[in-house]
Amino acid sequence: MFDPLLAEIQNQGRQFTVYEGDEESGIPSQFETHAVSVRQEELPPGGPAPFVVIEQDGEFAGALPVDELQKLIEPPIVRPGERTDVSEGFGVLFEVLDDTVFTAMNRKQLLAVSREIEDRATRVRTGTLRASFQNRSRLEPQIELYRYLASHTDLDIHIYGIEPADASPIPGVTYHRGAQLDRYWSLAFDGGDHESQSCALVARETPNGYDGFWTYDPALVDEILSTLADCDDSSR
Amino acid sequence: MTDNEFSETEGDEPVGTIHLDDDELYRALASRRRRRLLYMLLVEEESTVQKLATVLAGWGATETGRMATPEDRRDILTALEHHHLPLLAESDLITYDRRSGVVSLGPVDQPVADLISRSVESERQQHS
Repeated sequence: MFDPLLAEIQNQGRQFTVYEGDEESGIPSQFETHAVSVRQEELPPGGPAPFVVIEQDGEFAGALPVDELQKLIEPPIVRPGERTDVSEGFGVLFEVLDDTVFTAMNRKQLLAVSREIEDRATRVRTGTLRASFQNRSRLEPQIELYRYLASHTDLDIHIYGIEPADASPIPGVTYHRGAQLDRYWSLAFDGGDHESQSCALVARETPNGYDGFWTYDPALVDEILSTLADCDDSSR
Repeated sequence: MTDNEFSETEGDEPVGTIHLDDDELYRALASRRRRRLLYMLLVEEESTVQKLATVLAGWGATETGRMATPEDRRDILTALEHHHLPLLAESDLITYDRRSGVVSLGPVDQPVADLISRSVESERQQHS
């Protein structure tokens, strides 16, 4: 169900090449979880200061000294001017920073991200929250939270992966079987009255765990919400 | 000495090896961009015009502190292809295959290699 989206996120044709000498900048590990592939090239000791070459689809987009890049990626992220009039290199760099983290994840990390998404929904109290569970036992530890959200907030809550007939009904929660979602662990919250709070997680089970991404990009969150909504049982 | 990896030392050096008393050498070194290019080839021995342009663009960015743009790199590439590489090839300091874009360092003796390294390294010291 989410495979096309996952493929799109994972491979965006972006490449950073870090040119550095013996002293390592740590740039490759800083971008480890971002949607960009990073490689290293060695600079001779008498050569230039370390720099990063940014490429998109095999084309040179820009090159920036590592110390300038460090300044840009240390929070708070400072951006030179508006997105539209900065050079291509910054465009690619900020896409990488903004977007979306594609990575291998274990259950513990997935739980942490899931809690973050549920927390946001709990605080905002409005909007739509869609959550898929691979089976009922995954829902069990969270059921009290969803019961609380359904009774104490205005959230529209949809839970996937549970046969509606088997579920203990909670007013305000709609269950969907969503058999297409069995391989995925996904949550999405549209941010309700606060779009900036929108967030989503999509992960796919692999033989070694999970891989996937989470995002705070409202457009992407929207796409994930509609993919989940496509799995709604028609008999509602 | 046997005929092994040491065979390219003095007395047995490749034909056309560049020495410090070759006048052409000084013309070739009379440009920062060419010195850097030769320096990169000393380290890598062989490269491509595309990669040389990329590294020179990045090198430039480390001095300006600004993002090098695709236009910056394109200008460098044009200058390499039409000016610097033909000039260096003519002095036999490099070989340049226009079709494949492969650039290789020609035979230079150790004093020439040292001179190239020192000219680039002293430039960095002045900057820092």
